[in-house]
Amino acid sequence: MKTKNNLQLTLLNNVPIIIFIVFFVITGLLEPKFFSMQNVENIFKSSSHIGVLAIGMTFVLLTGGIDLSVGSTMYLSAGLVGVLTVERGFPIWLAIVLAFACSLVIGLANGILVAKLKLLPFLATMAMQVLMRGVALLVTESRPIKLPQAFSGLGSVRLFGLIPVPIALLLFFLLIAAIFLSYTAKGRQIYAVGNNEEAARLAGINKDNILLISYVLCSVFACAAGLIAVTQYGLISAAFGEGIEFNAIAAAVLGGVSLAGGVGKVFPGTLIGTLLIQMIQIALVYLKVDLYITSIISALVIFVAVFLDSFRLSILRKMERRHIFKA
Amino acid sequence: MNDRVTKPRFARIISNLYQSQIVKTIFALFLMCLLLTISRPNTFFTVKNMFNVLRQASVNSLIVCGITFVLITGGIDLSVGSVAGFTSLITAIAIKSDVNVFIAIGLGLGLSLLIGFLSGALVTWIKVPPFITTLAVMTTFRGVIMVLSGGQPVTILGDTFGFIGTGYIGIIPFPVILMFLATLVVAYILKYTKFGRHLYAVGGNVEAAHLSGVRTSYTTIKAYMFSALFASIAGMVMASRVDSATPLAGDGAELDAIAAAVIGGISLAGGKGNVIGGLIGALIIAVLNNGMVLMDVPVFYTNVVKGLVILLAVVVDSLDKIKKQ
Repeated sequence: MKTKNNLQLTLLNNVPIIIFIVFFVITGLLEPKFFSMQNVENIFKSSSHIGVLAIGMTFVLLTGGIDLSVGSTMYLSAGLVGVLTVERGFPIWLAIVLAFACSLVIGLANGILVAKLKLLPFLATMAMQVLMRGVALLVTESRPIKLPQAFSGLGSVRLFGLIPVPIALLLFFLLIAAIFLSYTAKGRQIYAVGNNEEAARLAGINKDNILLISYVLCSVFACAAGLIAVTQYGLISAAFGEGIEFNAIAAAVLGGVSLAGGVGKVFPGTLIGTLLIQMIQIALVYLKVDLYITSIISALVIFVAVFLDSFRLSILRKMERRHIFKA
Repeated sequence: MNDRVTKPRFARIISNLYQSQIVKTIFALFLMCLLLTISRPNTFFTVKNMFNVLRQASVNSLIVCGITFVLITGGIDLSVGSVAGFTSLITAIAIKSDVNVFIAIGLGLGLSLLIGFLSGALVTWIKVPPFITTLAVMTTFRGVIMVLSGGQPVTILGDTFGFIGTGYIGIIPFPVILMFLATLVVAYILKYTKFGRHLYAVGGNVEAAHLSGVRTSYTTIKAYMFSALFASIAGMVMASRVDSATPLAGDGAELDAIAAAVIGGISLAGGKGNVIGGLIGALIIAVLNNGMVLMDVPVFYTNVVKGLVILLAVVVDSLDKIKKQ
């Protein structure tokens, strides 16, 4: 009985990974070209900017909040780098530093609105989304901006002749986030605040401080995501990053991060969620499915995964209850 | 309690008025109108422009009417824009295949009820968070729209259908009448029907509502159905006004509606707010858009100003709450 329960538990705890493997194998059987190193690399490459965005989003989701402003932050930071380097002749490194500083300020503003002014995260970040898109449009005057080759060419450069730069950056940010969440006091405190705010306060955790850190990290990661996206597209249009916050949230939730806060991991969770969404989109291209149907299928997959997740939680709760009764 | 004994009735009414969010938003709207009238005396406060503003507000306000139901239960409905686009597309396709206009509209509205039922059922029975449910519904139906329309608008829908968005009754544009009518109906439902009171109970505390005999799942599902229905009506107005159902119709409408609702004092946490506030919120956004055009504000500033106004509204509300504590 116990082993059966354990098996069930292991299966339930790894729903995203299982869906990922099943989908990968089935598509591979239908279309052998899918099983190539090139394809795996493509999946990772197209996941790189959404992955970094989703990892940043995970910090905020873990506190029980949400950040709708990331798409605008992406646009603002990428636009700033574009305008400064192409039109004002700034060196690239300085433009990048300025973009990160800018995202830091946005994150701080989000954090202050949520932590100090006690606004609902959805509202505060929604207002920031509209506001920052406006500021970004002011910066770029809504013109498409082409970045210098030195920067946009990075997308096809391989680090040590092996890993493409966008993938390396994704892994780098993943590593930082995973270490921060698992092995630092502040990271653990994010979980505590998300799990039970009152208990966290009583345990002496400075809640406002943790919220600030989460929102700042989310914005900074969004800035990085914007720059990574630019290395692949090479061009920034006025709609850059619009609606991408929903993709990031979906990826995180698909990977098992709870919208209620306190539950979830960046590795494997958020990473698998992102890869799964991107893999499905690429697989549907391989299988020559109508482009318009693709978005329907992606939505349904997100939905099924979240449904399984809530199903899993209810079973886990039942098991726990049984356990308590036995004791 | 003390307040009641010591203060005379009149003073109590004044202090209640002062504290009510609606009065504040009406005051803000009034102030904006006043400023615009002073700075653009010849163009802003004219009959033509006033009807223009009202007509611009009507689509957003109709969506707000519906989304208010869901917001009061403490949920959120991101699918309104897609539902508006989808159902108006269905109606347009039906009209193009020579179905009677009224039956076609009925078909669109009926489908919206079905979608609302689906969202509500998923939220309440399967316990998927409203944000995710309606996000999935939003993406799915935007996809369905693309598949059905092939990315092409469906145009030339005839005069009968055109009346919804462009017609007049007397001198008043029909969508404006629709907007006020919808607001009144929703205000009545929320205040004077059992279902309306139950919505507040569910939004205030689901557990308590359930224990005191409110059929919470039934109430929640009905809320999502109303939300989809009004979104669909808004979609009809949208399609009728430009005489075509476009694939991107209603894209992003959910955030505009939520912004209007929140400016009007409807709490995203649930259990608080009413639809009159939502109407005023929608009017504020419309006046803002109109005013910025009249004042020749460069188009790039539009978003900045809009964002600041939303921020201001929520910050003022939140500061109030902090002060009360």
